[in-house]
Amino acid sequence: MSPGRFTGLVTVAGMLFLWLPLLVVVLFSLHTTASLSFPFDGFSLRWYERISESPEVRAAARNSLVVATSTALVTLVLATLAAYGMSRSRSRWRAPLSLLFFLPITLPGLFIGIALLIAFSRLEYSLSLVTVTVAHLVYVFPFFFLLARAALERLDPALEEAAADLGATGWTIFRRVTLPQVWPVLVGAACLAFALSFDEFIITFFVVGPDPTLPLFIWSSLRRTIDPSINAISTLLLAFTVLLFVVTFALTSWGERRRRGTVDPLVLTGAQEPR
Amino acid sequence: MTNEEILQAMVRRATRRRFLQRAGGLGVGALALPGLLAACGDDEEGGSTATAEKTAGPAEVPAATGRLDYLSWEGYDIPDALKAWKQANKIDIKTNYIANHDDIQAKIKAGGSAGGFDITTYYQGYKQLYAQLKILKPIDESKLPELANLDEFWGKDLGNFWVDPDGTRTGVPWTWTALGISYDEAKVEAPASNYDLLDPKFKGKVAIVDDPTGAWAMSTHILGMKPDEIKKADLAKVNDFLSQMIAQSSGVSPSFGDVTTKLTSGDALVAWQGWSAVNKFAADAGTKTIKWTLPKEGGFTACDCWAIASTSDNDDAVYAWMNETMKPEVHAAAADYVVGGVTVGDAFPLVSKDVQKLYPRDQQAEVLEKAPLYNNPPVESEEFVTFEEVLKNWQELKAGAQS
Amino acid sequence: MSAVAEPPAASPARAPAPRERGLRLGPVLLTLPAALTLLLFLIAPLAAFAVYSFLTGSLYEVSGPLTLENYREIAQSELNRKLARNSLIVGLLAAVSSVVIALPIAYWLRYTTSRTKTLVLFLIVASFLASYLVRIYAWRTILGAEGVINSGLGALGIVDEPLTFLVFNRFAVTLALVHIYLPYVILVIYAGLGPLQPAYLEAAQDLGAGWVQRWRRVVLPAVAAPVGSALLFVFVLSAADYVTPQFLGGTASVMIGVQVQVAFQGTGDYAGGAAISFALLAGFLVCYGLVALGLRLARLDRLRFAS
Repeated sequence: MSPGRFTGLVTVAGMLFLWLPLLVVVLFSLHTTASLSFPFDGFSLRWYERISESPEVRAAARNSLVVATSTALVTLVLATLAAYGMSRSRSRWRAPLSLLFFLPITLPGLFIGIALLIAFSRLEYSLSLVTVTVAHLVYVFPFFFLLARAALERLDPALEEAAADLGATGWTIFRRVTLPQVWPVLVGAACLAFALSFDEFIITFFVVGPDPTLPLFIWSSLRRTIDPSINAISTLLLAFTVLLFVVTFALTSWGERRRRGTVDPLVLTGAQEPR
Repeated sequence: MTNEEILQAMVRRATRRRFLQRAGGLGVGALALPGLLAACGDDEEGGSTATAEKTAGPAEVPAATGRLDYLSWEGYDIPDALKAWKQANKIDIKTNYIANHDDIQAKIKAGGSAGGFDITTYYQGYKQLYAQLKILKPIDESKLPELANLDEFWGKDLGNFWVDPDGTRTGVPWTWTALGISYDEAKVEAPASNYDLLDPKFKGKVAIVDDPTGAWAMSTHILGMKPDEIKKADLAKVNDFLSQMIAQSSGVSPSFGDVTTKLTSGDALVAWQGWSAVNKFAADAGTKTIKWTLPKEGGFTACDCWAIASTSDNDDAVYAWMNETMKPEVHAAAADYVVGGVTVGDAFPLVSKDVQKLYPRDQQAEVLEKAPLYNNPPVESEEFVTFEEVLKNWQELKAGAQS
Repeated sequence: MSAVAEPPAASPARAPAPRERGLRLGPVLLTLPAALTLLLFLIAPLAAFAVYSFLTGSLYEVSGPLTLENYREIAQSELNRKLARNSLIVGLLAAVSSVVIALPIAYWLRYTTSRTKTLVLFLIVASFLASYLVRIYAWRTILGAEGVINSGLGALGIVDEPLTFLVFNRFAVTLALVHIYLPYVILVIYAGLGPLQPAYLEAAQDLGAGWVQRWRRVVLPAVAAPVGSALLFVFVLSAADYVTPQFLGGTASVMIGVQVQVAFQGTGDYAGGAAISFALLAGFLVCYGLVALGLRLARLDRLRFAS
């Protein structure tokens, strides 16, 4: 069923709509003056120079990197285990647990951030990158969980049953049968977790300590004067996360192709819902 | 060992008086030398008997090193001006930038960083609230030899913003600015009166920054009243003026950066609660025609002072920081960086010409009279409008919920 | 890791093998670390947060006996009503707009055989990754008095004065919010169309259904659940957003989330802020419930296709 011209046109318009502001961001990151409006005075790399020389930017970027990596890794472990457990079980706990795991997505960042702020201050636990990581973990969990669970539920149980028949126990089954099938989705989901954490701003705003993450840094530098250095930071960030995704996609599709001989984008993105 | 250290060691052996410790850099050494020489002189007179309780010697700055947790506006941490000092003392600054003034008390009360926030600032109006919240540590003046550099006005503190009536000091004023009206001289003439901004030609073209206490101070001053003594019945009068002003805007800007952008991008022609530093920000952005004026009704002055947070675990470093920024050269560099007025008289000649023009020293007294230093509304009061009421009121005004 | 040879499963496909019965408890245990983490760092703080809403707050402390005063104040506040109305409108506009725009795009993505499909997917995912704050500012550059649109129109001679109605109003806020959430909505609907094989649509066409009918009777029912969840997602997040209106909204578009931020960071009224947050949350839960109920009643919550 080939889509008609109308949907094609909407798609083109949609892509333009999505990318116009981003192109504006990139364009003005190369602006000679500090103005963010037209007329465009000319090209210059000064903002990139400025941010690469700024220790504050580097520190913030490092902090974001640390938090995002930790978030992605911890989420990977917790959410994969949880998703595996849920998909292989028929317990009546599945429904309430599902609700619990899904909960953070339904809450605006404002709530999560403030709730955690209150909790930490009541416990007199000082705010730091650790508290930020915890907050990000909570926020990112449902995204990972949904993707992982969808992928795990789509697997043919016969393979695992066969492995069990041959005498393998839980961990071995997971390692030798399940994981080789779903690792592309898990890697992609970890990537998503990383990207979500890197760009997260609202929750972080409440639980951050003395070490800012990059979005927090951008926010506070917007206070005094708004100049294209934020555009430069954002462009680099975009380039970085896009590169990350491209590399991940390439790796995982190579892995898929080796194993199956074909690449199914729907499988790789884990986009299919369980049937 | 340097000459200073040898001299110090010699004199220390001769008497038990302590001397200005080297806080880094030749500048301090140069200042220390007269002190040392004077002490030598005194020593010869007084003989070698050590006097136990006398503290007549020059005040001493504690040795500062280690981690310093900074909680305040971005820019006030003057990275360049303090770079040499930080390196010489191996001070590691952990900056925590605030988005608005209320972040300060919110963060300190919430427990803050692992080390606890050490150095912070406060706008003079917040003194009462902060005293009540108990988030400021008293400052030991004997640890601030450079305090004497404060010029006559800023050292006096008639409003008890930095020194309590009982003599306890909680703040060291270091930068100030009078808020008036910013305007684009290429597009409009300098408004002579605040009421000019209510003219239809400015509809949707007035930039206002989201500062409830600032807006309150400015509007009450314009109406001939004092912000901390507005009777509850007069609230409607103030709101009337404020709501008209806000209606002239295209929405309240979350920051001065935003105000600058509105001015440079043509989305605004004037800014109410104009800050002269915006002139420089705009010039950096390529628009050199943004100017500042203090209209005939005046405005108000905001002065930020250094303070020690109650959660501080590195007081010595804070004292060293404060001391360093009171030195004329450092003070001047800081004033250039944040584009603010100086509180240290000797620093003025060292400030750049552009900033000098924005804050001319000979007009300081005049400006401070037309734009006085005010208190915030009281924390609790039966008679007057309180701080909390002003904040809540401002939210309503911002949303246009009042006519 | 020594494995003991176990008897092969003798049961038919339907009944669980002995191993599977044993596995039933095991797998659920695997969810324990995650569940505990969320209980500790989400449920418990939310519970504390809820308790705060029944206390009295001032100057960054909470105290006192349990009281409904905070909620009463909220209900009576005209400002809150106005802000809530703004938030509702913006939320609905953003949600409906994103879905309406996303549907054709997701459809194209699902059924196209063009080679540019991967490129488009890439563009969508990549736009998802751009920084939230900077994007808001980019809209200022586009919609502002000396922005892209006005400069373009001015250069082409179409207008003499810059258009001022493009920015600092609800339109700009909604536009920015749609821009932020559109990629997500497209992907969710695209995934939802996964099970809907082209063959079904072709069959419908063969039976004489025009595109309206195909959409109404085949496509929309298939994606009802994903569309419902996307609508909810965008609505909730847009209604609670308070940063976007600060930069792109005018005085009429202040939204309710800012009240929470002011309570926590301005007046220090933690209890009041908590009450507003939970009132909002209650509102959102009602919406979730209604949508879920609606889908269940229309039997659209779970669509099965023979595969």
